[in-house]
Amino acid sequence: MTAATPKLAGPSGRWARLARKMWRSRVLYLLLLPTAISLITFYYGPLLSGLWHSFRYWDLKQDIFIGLENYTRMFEETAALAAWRNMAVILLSQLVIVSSMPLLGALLVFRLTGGRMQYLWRIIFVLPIVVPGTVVVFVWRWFYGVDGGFNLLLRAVGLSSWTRIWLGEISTALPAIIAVGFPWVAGLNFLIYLAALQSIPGEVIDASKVDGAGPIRRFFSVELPLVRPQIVLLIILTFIFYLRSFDAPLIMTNGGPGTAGTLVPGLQMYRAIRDDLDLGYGSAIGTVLFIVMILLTFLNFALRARIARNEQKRGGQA
Amino acid sequence: MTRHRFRFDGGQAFIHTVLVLLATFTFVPVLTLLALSLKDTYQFINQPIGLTFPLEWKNYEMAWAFMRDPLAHNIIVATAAVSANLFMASLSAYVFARHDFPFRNVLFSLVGILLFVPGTVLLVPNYVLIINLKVQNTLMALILPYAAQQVFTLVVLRTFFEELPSEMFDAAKVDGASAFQEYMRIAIPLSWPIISAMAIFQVWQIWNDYAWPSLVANSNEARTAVTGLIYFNDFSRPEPGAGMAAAVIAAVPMLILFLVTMRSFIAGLTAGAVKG
Repeated sequence: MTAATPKLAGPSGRWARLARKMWRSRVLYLLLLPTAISLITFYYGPLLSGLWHSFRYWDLKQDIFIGLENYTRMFEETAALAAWRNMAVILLSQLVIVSSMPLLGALLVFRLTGGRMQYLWRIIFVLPIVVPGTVVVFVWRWFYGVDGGFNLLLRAVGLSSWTRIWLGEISTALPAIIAVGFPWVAGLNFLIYLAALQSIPGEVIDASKVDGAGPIRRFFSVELPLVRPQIVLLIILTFIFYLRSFDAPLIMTNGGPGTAGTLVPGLQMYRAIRDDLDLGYGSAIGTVLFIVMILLTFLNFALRARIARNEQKRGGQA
Repeated sequence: MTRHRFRFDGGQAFIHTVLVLLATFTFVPVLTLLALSLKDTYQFINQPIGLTFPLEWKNYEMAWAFMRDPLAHNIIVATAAVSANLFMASLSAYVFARHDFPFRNVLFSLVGILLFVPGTVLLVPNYVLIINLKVQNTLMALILPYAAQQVFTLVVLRTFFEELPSEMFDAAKVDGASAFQEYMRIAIPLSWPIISAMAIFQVWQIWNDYAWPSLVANSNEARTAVTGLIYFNDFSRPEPGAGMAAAVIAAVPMLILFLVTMRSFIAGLTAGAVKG
C-alpha cells in the first residue's frame, strides 16, 4: 500500500522511492558494472590523472607541483614550437590531399558506365586498407633510403645528382613523410565519397545532362555541391586523425633530422615517456592535443548542423 | 536505332586510363615489397626492381622464425580483448536500450561523452597505469586497455538494440526470462551481423596499433606483429629480403580476414572511420 500514497511523499519519501527503484534495478546495475569498471579505470581515472599531473613534475618517483611550467615550456622550447609548426604543415597538406585525390578517384569510378565495372574498381581501391599502416610506412622508408627505390630510380634515369637521403635532410624529410601513401586515392575516404556520389538521385544527374552540362560542369554544379558535407566531414576526421597519430615519424625518423625535423606534438608526448620519463610534460602535451581535438569536434557538429539547415532551406524553396 | 555494342567511348577510355594509372601508383609499393621479399642480399642491392630468379624463399623461413611469436601474441591479444570487449559492451548496450532505471540517461551520457576522448591523449596516464598494475611487457598490457575501449561499440549497439521490435522481448518477459536471459536469447542472436562488423573493426584497429604496443609490450614475450616487424628490421639486422618478408607476414592475417569477411570488413571500417 505504500507505493500508492503520493500525497504523503515529502522529500524523504521521494528519496525512499528512488532508493527502492534503484534496489529493484540492482541486476541492471550489476550488468553495467564490467563496462563501468573498464571506463573508470582506462578513461576517467587517466583523464583526471593526466590533467592533474600536467601541472606537476612527474617521473614515477617524484611528483611535484610546478604550476604552468609544462604548458609554458610547450610554447617556448624550440623543439615544441617546431613540432606544432610541422603539425600545421601536415594538416594543411592533408586538407588539400583529402579534398582532392580520393574524391577524384571516387568521381572517376562513379562516372564509369556499368555497375560491374564500378564494383570492380571499388574493390581495387578498397583492398589497400588491409595493409597495416606500419607496413606501408616500412615500405616507404625503404623507398627513401640511401639505396632505396627513389635513389635507384633517379640513378637509372641519369639523375644521380638528385639522389639524397630523403629522410635525413631537413628540407625533404617532412615532405617525404607527407608523401607516404601517394596517390592517396585508396581507402575509406574514397569509399565514403563514392557512397555519397552513388546516393545522388539519378534524375538530378539526368536533368543536368539534358540541360547540356558537360562532364566538368556537371561536377562543379551538381556533384561537388552534393558531396560537400562529406568533404567537410572527412577533412575534420583527417585533422583529428593526424593530430593524434605519429606512427610515420616515429618509425621513419624518430622526429629528426636535427632536433625536430619531423617532430609532431604526439611524438613529443611519446618521447617524453620513452626517452625522458618526463610524464608531467607528456601529460600537458596530451591535454593540449585533447583541447584542440574537442574544438575540432565541435566545429564538426556546428558545420554539419549548418549544412543540414541549408539543405532544409533549399528543400523548402523547391 | 542501331547501337554498336563495342562502340569506342572516348570519355570512358579516358576514365579507365586515369584509374589504371592511379591503381598502378597505389599498388607499386606493395608489389615492390613482395618482389624484395624474394631476393637474396646480392639481388636486393644490385637488382632491386622487378622479380629476380631464383626466388629466395629462404627469406620467409628466416622471417617466420622471428615473426611466429609476435603473430601468436597478436592473435591471442585480439581474440581475448575483442571477445571481452564485445561481451561487456553489448551487455551494457542492451541494458541501456531495453530497460528503464534510475540515472539511465546520466550514466549513458557519461559513456557517450567519452567518444570525444581519443585514446592517444591518455597515453601518459595509461602508461603509468600499466606500470602500476605491473603488467608491462606482458600480453595483459594490451588486452586490458583494448578490452576497455568499448565506447564506440556500445553506442552503436545501443541504437541497434533500441530498434529491435519489442514484441520479442515482451514474449520473453511473459515466459519469465531474466534480463540476462533476454540478452543471451534475443538481443545477441538478432545482432550477429553488426556485432561481427564491430569485432572486425576492433581486430583491425588492434592489428594496426603501433605506438601503444611499442611502449608497453616491447619484449619477446609480448611483441605484436607490426611492432615485431620494426624491431626485427631495426635490431635483429636480418638479411634485407627477410626483413621485407616479415612485413608481408605481418600483413597476411588482415588480408585473410578481409577475404573471408569482405562485407562485414568494409561495413565495420566505414562505421569506425566516421566515428573518427
